[in-house]
Amino acid sequence: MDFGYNNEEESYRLKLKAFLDENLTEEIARQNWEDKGVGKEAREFSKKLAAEGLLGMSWPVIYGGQGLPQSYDYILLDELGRRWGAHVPLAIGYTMVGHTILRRGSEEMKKFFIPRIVRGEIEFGLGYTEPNSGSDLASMKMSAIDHGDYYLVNGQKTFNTESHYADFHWLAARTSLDSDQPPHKCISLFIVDQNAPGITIRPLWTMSGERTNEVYYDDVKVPKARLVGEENKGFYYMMEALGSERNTVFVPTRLSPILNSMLQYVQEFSDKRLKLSINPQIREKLAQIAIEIEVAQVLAERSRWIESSGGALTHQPEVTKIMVSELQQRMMRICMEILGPFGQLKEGSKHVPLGGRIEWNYLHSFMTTIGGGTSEVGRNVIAQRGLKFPR
Amino acid sequence: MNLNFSEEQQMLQDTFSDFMREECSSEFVRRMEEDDHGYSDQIWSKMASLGWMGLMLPEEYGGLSFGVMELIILMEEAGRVCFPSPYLFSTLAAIAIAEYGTDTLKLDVLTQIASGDVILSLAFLEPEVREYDPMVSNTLCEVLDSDESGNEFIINGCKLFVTNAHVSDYIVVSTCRNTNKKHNNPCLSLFVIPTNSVGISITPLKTISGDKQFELLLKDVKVNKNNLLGALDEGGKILEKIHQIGAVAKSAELVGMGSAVLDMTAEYAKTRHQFGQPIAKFQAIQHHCANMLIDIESSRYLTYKAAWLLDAKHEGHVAITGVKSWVGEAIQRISALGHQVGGATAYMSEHDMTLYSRRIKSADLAFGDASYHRRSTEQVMGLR
Repeated sequence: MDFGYNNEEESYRLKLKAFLDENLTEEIARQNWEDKGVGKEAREFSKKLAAEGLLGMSWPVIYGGQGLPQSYDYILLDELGRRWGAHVPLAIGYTMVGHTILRRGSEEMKKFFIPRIVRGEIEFGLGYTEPNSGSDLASMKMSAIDHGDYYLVNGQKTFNTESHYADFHWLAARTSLDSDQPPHKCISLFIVDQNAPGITIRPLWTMSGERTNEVYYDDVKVPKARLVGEENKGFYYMMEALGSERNTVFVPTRLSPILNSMLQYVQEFSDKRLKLSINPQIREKLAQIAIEIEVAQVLAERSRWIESSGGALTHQPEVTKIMVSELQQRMMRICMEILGPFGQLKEGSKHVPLGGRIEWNYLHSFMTTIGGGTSEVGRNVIAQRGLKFPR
Repeated sequence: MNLNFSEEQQMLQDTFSDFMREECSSEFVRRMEEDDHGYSDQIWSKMASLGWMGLMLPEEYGGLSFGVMELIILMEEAGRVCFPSPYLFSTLAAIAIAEYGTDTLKLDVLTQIASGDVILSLAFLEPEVREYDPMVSNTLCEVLDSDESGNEFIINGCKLFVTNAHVSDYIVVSTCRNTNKKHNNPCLSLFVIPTNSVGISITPLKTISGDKQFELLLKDVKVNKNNLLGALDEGGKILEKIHQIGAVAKSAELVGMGSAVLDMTAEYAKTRHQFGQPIAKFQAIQHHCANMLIDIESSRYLTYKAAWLLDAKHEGHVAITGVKSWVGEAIQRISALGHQVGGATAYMSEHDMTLYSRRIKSADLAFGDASYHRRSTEQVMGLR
């Protein structure tokens, strides 16, 4: 058993760290972390990362990658996370849908999309959730009717977070409307140009100030060639990708800059002329957070290892997801408690501590146990797949 | 990175697992709880003949030269069946002697460890120390007046929670030359004291898990300089080191116990019917058991990582200082949920669940509980 990285991996990390320290500005990290939208700077950063040969390490050579093991992309995610960067700037393509295109897409689709993803040029928005289909995703109503050389798509998606800046919509829709098959066998996946005629995008604002969207389809024509894999296999493709998506989306190092800023705060600020770090309760709580981040990291490492060594992921990514998201809530509550009345101050306010990042992350943490699947559904999966409990 | 066991480690795990299942039934555990001796000499000899007494000892003493990782593989399997034995404390004391003992001491003691003929223990806690801290000692060691060479010491004090003192041949005792009753005194000296020395008396303590722990009274006990570990006043570092290995090993034992509780609980949930269906169908039960699985998997891999870090000499890592803090609390949550799902039946003393829940508490306390290890973690975070 070996939890270490080899010399080649470590030298990639060194090169990457040097690049990030110089190029990953706060503005770019926050566009990415706070879902403000990928702006010009973030797109430039992404292209530069690729141009330096630091992006696409773990992707096949024939599509522009470097053909190295998965571990390199995990190092990339870990190092971005340590610097307030939630993920690679064009994350949905790079960490989620790109892998399904590789697995299930036609050769033509792979040749078009993968090199652009690996060069950091394009982004996708996820189009899964609908107003009446949240946890019960397979019950979706969005329809895609076969019209010969195109599908005619109608319906509504909601909470599609990337749609206002994405180039493509990664859409799940029902292709078998009158079939007596169960709902999950009637769904297909499509790649839709985000600016295709008939698409309307309306903003929804979260309480932490992030933008997400409603996306309406009104007789949108999607060419046949943009069907991913086979018709009616879409739900299966979504489920097969879920484990590896959890591995790249729930990155524990992302919590470390929050802890580090709190450590700095308690050593700096004084209460009754004593440093806050003298208070044993504060110290013990911060130690607990540090330990739990380590726990989340080791769970992520184990789940990533299963994937990269070719094992079958079942309940393990759910374990990581629940640990990371619930830890985020626990730690933000504690951080707010330590800040006391100052915790309520927003960025830009007089007397705001730590630039308002704690207040923002506190509000954001409410979402983490819901987005990407609730903790409750996750626990069902753990019991049913991990412990073979009956459904 | 490779998070699988090596072929050799996998073989060890299989062997340990088979052995423990074969030798240690829950009926045997109950019997040993009532028994004054508290373990089986016959099983002890078998373990010795398989070479496990010298698991971490150098080959020159008949050892196998394995690391912390192999020790925790054994401890996890031992925990799974609540295996009672002086193994862990004896092994830790032997490691300290192998690394810091004088040649005389090694010749006297170590050569008999691997064969199982000598049993060792550790004594570092005291009645006055109420907030767990292995680094405080009020046990006095003084140079014997009549001995001009300075080679003889005389020890006075009282130690608590000395495991298996009744069968130990030697006990590693932490002492201090200047007991000004100040806490956090770093100037410890560790002596390996033969239990047949004049002035030693032991009194059994009755414990929550029925394990064999003792009060060790040392009254004018004479001990030779040859029995000192490392240098005088510099035993703190040695104790810290074996205490750390002990904490990781106890974490592994807790993981084993927690796994057994989860297995038992999941099996029960699938077969117990209420309201006309297996209770495993209820989401409340599924979520309890999912929480148990999250706790067991996080605890297991954190323990593996801590062992790997210790073997790779990456000291001062949060995974090392924090492991027992997380594992102790996580496995206690498992114990509580095991009782909850198991209902009144699992609360009966004849149910195996009660063997585990009592031992889980006991293991949580050994080598420092969660709060002690959080304090150690504060130190590596620069907060102390």
